[in-house]
Amino acid sequence: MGEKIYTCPRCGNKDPRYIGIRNGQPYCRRCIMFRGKEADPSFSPKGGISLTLSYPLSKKQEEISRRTKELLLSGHNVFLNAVTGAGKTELVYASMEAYLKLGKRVGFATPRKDVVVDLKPRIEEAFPSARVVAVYGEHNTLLEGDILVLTTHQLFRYVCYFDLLIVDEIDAFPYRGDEVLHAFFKRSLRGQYVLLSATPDKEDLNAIKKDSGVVLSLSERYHGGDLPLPVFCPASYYPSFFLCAHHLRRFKKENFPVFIFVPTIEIGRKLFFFLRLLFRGGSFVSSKESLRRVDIEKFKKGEFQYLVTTSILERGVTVRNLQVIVFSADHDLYTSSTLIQIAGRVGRKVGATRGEVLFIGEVKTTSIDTTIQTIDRTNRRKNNGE
Amino acid sequence: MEEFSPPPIRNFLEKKPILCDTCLEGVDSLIQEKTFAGTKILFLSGYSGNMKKWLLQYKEGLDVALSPCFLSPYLLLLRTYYFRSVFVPLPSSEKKNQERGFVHLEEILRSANLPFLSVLAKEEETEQKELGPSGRRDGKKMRLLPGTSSLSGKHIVLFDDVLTTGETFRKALALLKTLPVASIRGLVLMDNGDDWHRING
Repeated sequence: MGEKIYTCPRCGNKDPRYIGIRNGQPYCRRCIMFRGKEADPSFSPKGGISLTLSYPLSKKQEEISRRTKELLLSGHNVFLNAVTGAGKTELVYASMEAYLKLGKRVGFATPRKDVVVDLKPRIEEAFPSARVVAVYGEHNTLLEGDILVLTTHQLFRYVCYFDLLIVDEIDAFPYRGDEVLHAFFKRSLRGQYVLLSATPDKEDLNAIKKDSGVVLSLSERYHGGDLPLPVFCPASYYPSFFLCAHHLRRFKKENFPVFIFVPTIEIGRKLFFFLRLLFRGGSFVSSKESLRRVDIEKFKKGEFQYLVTTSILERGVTVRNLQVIVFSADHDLYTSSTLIQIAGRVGRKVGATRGEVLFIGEVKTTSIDTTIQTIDRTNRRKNNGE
Repeated sequence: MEEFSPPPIRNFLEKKPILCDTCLEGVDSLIQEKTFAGTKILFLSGYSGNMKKWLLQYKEGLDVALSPCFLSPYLLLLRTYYFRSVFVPLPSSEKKNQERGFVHLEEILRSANLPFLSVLAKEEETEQKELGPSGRRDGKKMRLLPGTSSLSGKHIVLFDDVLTTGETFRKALALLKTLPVASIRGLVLMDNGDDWHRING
């Protein structure tokens, strides 16, 4: 006779290696740390909220935006595969407005807390009469609002809640590959969802198709310009420091702000120690640096001219005339998806659509090669009007 | 989750290794013996790394399955160093024990197969109120339970998970020192130290 398999009612876990026994009762160890207050299931947004956009969408954006809204309102889910700088967030505004006008619950989720903090004011500007509430780790006293902007971690607080849930950067850490976060995402839905990514893989695209989903693609940036094509600069370990310094000097001469991406905090500390001997006006930011938000703000205001940074700035950041150097670009941690996101920081602003992306490393890895080829292919497709 | 096959040396040293090499690497072991309130205390780690993460999941997440993880890297050391000693866990409040569904320090000792006797108890808030305003203390008042006679002549090790101010630990030591035991030492998983170092002088 088979034993009854315990299935976690919250995250669906059945793996016995993640099931413990406490006082003779099974409990799930996978979702155990997702504990806390849940949102009020009786909450209703105020309805009749309108979108106010102070800038026009491009023709392609309008087309995708309209099509997304049609699909959602007819009960489909949507995957928006749009290149970096395409204006993915704006693509869902019309859909959000349609749901909000009906008094339905709308949420915008993303894996990273920094992105939630940056996104909230943008959404407030687009929907000025809406009460926009941000929910993330240290900021979760208030869980209800007309529009919720939250990390994917906080989705556990919402059970069968959202009529429309948009999840941005589905391929970013920590959401990527996390079954518990995926389970909480599904559990939080009452209606339709939109997934956004510039770097989906085949698995992501197949999954949406199986779930009444449609994939819409946008391969051009808002301003119509090309994606910047990275250049591989080969250099062995010690010369790579000097090569990085050489390019930084070149960018500083033209007064361009620079991000220098590093794969690990350790490498970042070494590189910044070297660079600060030669150049003033820089800083090192990582998840471990408690003043990172201050330094990032200083950089955006022009008080710092360069930042050595780990992956925390690989997504969601827009800086005019930014130039990017990826140091140790051949490191194992740099997947093609990560390098495409990093390259996507450059040339995002109207009137500043060009910039350089340099990959410094000893070896041209498959990830580097795939990145360059993918970006090149995307640009050619866009220029051919596909 | 990958299957873990411990190397022969660990099979020999640990009898039944629980932690894989990756988990072990994440433990910030810092084995140090320090003196506190006139008593030698062995600390196993700083308040960081996997120990800290596991303790949070264990106590706040109620993940009782983690109980063997805390002492397993040190069992050979502890069994040798505290040979023929009896461990006395620092008490938690009854309310917390009921909320958790288990007594967290007892579970750690039980998982490690180390002999222990719970002879200390915290006075509950209701008991405090019965003392009246003049007798009321700061909620960490402690008392000895019946059964301390079995500790007579024994070597005692007072056991706690984290030492921060050390106030509770100090009170427990004071109570144990009233017993006719052979010796008293301490064992603490993690040193969260600035406060108690400062108070200790």
